[in-house]
Amino acid sequence: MSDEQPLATYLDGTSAEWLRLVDSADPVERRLAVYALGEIGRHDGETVTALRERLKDPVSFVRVWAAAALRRIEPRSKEALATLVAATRDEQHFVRSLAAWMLARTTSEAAEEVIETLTGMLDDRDASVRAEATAAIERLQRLERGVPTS
Amino acid sequence: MAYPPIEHHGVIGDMYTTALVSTDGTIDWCCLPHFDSPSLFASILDDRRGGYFRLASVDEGRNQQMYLPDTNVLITRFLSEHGVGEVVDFMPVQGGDKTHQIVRVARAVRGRVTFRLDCQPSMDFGRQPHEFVLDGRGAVFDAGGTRFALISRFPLSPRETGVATEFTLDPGESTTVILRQVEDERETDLLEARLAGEALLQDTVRYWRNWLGRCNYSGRWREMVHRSALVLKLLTYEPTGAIVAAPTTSLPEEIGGVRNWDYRYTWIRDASLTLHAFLRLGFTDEAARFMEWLEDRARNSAGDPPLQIMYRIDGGEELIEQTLDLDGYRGSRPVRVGNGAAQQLQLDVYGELMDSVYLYDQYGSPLSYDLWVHLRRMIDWLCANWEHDDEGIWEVRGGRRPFTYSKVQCWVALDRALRLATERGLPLDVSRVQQERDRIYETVMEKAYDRQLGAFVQFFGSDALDASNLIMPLVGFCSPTDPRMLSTLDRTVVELMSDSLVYRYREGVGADDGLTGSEGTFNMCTYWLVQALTRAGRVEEARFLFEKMLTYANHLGLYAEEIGPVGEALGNFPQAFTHLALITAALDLDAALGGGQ
Repeated sequence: MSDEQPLATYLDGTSAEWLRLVDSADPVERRLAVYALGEIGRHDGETVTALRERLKDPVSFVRVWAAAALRRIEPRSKEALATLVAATRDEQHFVRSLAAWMLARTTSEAAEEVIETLTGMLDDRDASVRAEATAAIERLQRLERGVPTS
Repeated sequence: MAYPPIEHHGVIGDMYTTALVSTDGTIDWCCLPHFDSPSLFASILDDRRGGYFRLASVDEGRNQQMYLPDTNVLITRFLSEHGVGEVVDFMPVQGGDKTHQIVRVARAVRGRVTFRLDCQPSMDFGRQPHEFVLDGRGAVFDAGGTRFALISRFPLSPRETGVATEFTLDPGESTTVILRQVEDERETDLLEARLAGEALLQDTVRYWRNWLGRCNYSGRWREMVHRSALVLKLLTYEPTGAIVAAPTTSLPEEIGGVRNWDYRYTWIRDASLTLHAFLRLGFTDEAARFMEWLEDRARNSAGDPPLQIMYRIDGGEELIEQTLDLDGYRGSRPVRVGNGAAQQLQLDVYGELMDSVYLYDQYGSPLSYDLWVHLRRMIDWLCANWEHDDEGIWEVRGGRRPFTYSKVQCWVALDRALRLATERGLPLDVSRVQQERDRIYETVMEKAYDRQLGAFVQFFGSDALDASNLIMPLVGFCSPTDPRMLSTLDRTVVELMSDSLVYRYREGVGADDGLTGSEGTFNMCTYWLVQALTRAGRVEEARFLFEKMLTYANHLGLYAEEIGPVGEALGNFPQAFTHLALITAALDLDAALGGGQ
């Protein structure tokens, strides 16, 4: 993911324009902004700083999306990984589900910690979380085996 | 946005409504929650103001479409040098008037694929402004209390009057987007679209395969027959059993012309003929539902004439025609909703109706006495009124005529009533009905056959041909090898056929249809010619026509009402008439070639 060329814009918005939304009072706008920054993928100081700030966002789903975006730009970011792992224990099932999905999406190699976290979600009380964790593990296992893409 | 060719579409639905999906992944037609509801997406009728919902790969390449076999689950495929992406579209079949929804599953099949989603609803053909809010689920569109939610895992961004997003999927990865009505803002089951989407997909696939598994046809062209059956089922309104003529309005019979009509209603004619096709394929449940709908119409009707020619899908009688302020498909105006033909007199509907009733009585379920009483009242009326001029099967707007097809179908109506009375022992003034039936027969033979032309003509006293007369041997009015019929066939082939496709009539010749402009060849008439030739023993000729006609289907086996000079689809799409005629032609031809159901 980090070896991809950054885009100039996301949906016609530049990094600068999306950065202005990162501190919006609306968490849905903040989520959109961090996602857009991740899609643009510019590894610059301003973007990284903004995303790191959002790892501490008061709203859990914003934190998850910020972590995912940061992992696109800095795949080895320990802070981002820690945020996602923490989110797998969120009280809201859709956040846990989101975190499982993002862990698999943003992991380019099958790190033991990630697989261990996901395995722990297989007995989650919510069916959608279990399904997402199962799909995530399968994806990472394919990565581990070097299964060619379909 | 440009207007894609009409034939560049697939159709999905849930037997309450449908959506058209073009090969570029755009839903450019959908009325929710029912066939005749105001539109949500109608960019096929106005590419600026109509509204659309696009989900497609951003990479340039080649697009294809296919259905999951034996289903109405549509797959649009995007092939490029960078990878292969797919969007699976379907409307879950859930039973009952539950929330109606469109499920779209995007997936990367090969390589990493970036998709772009653009959802720009436009309520009520652009007449009803809407607002929308973004929330954790996606977006909620609100137009005066009518709400739709777009559920997307990927964050949506406001764009114009809708939303957009772009996302990249890794090989094997998928994401589900659901568009659905919102009835309760507190609904909490909307968040996990993917899980819900997978379950809905499995249920929907299972539904369609189970349904099609009841089809008893295994002869030639089975896949085309099956696809046509699936289309007809999609056009069935599940709550009442009514069958719409097509799920669209105002797709033009001539590009840039005025022949643009609303087909989202139930014509007695079209539905009766569809019933006929369903019965021949073994779908008796659909026939039973439609018979119930019909009985309701008959029971509630005390008018003169006894039946309207068409009704709303809920049985309502008002179909007030209005024109809309839309550009029209490629500038084909006016765009209409409602249909003024509802008030016309079309005597043939009683024949199509009684023929289907007779068939249903034989192969479905014996009709009830109460229904018979209603039908008998219609027969009584017909005995006293068959001589009236009418607007006929083609719903001409240039004045009533004594159309031959109408009189033939009047004969059919009385003939089937006599058969039912005789075979079932049902009470009927047999003498009177028989007398009128025979009078119709002699009148047609005397006044509708032009000796100089050597053919049955469009209406008494005219010298114009009309392809609707091909029905004569198909309903048993005359022998398929009667010299009069054979010469009519020959004349039809010479004067109304072009490249194996049949026009309804020649414009400017015969009855004034009250319209300007021209139209394409009429698909149902081409299939009627196939049947007439088959029954006349000209089987190889029929087969060639049939096979050639199959090449005019679109990539999914779907047809509109007509075909233009370069093979383009014209008119509303997909059309029940064409697909039911394909079925009956295939069955007849297969049997003649030595096959069998």
